[in-house]
Amino acid sequence: MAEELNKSKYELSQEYTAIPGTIVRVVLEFPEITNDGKTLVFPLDDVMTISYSMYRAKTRVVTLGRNDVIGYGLGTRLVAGSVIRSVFTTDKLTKLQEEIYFLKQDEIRDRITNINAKVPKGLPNKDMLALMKDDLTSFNIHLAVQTEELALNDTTQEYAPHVRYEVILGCVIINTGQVYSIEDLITESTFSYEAKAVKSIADLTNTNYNTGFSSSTSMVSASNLLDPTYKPAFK
Amino acid sequence: MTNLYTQFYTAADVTVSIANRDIASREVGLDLLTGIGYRHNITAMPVYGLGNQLPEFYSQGNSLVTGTLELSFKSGIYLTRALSAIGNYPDNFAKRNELQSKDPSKMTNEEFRTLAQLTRINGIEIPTEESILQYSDPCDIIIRFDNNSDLNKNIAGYLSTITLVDVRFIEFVQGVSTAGDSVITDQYRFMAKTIVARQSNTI
Repeated sequence: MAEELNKSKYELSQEYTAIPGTIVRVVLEFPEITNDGKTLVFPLDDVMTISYSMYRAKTRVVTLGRNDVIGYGLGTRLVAGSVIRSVFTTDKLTKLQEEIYFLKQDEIRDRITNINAKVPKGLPNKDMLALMKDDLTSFNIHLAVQTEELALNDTTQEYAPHVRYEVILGCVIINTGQVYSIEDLITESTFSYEAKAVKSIADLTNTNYNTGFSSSTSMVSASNLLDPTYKPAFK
Repeated sequence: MTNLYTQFYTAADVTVSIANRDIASREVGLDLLTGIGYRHNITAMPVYGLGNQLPEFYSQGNSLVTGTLELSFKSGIYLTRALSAIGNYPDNFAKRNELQSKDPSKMTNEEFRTLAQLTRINGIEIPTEESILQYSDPCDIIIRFDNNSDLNKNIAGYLSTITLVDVRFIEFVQGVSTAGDSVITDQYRFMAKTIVARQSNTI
């Protein structure tokens, strides 16, 4: 372990390649969004700024007779950030939102007429005036960085760009903002989100991709039992 | 964190499940739990003798655990499903299996009724609509404390479990209000007979 850590130390002879914002591609992924479990992935090409920060509640423990902290209790973690986008006449996210809304219209109509018999008759239906960005389901934001400069890869002995990859897992939009002004030459649209985790990957060949959720568990959970088709594997 | 610090427990390190007290493998994790609290009481009285101002001994009284379990509402049958699945009728399993292996055309009305009842109690095929308070057979609540990971081998706490033995749910509380944007929670009050605490020394 120690040897591996020493290997990763910065060396004086090493070249450092900075990452300008211009080489960061943003890709949105809506995992298993469709009824048949298909995932929607599309590059969001109008992002100007994206940020995230992480907060972990770590509670200090100080016992009597001590003047220093003897330990911590590790609490919950929160990832949050914001995205600033340039508003163009074409906007993939709004288009997606609009499409979902129209799909939703059919569903609402079906419910009202009880065609799909999914809800019992007589239940009040919510009248959805608009589907806004905060109505969107959770998604993952992929940040893919690839430098213009090539470097010799030790393993493959081939020249390849430097890559760095980050995934913000389980984003849910909390705030959205929009300003139009005669003072602005470009119009910006912002949203801020909360998320579950950020996965940073330096070596793309050395990781397993994860969509941010998993249903596998060694123990039967009470939530599993709510699915009428689920059969618990008790011994 | 290095060995400079000890890692203590928080709610993030605790998982709770309910289990059949007789069949250990029948255990269901309560994944929507947001809180659990309990207290164990035993009544005892000092017994004095003449000529001594100190108690001679203490009388042995009654033991009772009382507590509350709080979970985020997801379904009205969340906990009843779990109780139904772990089933508290070990003797009835054999009876049910015996009846199920019989030729239905040769079963009596009584046997059909018994089979229906046993399937309702022990199987999860039929969703229960009964109140949790009708589940009179006790189960165990197991609280696991585990903050161990590969990154903190030397400073983590010991894997421990606290088992509330023979739990009986006695009260269900739910409130819905437009004040605030809080998540709807269910509260269940329960009694139990005693508490068993264990520590694993294997980690």
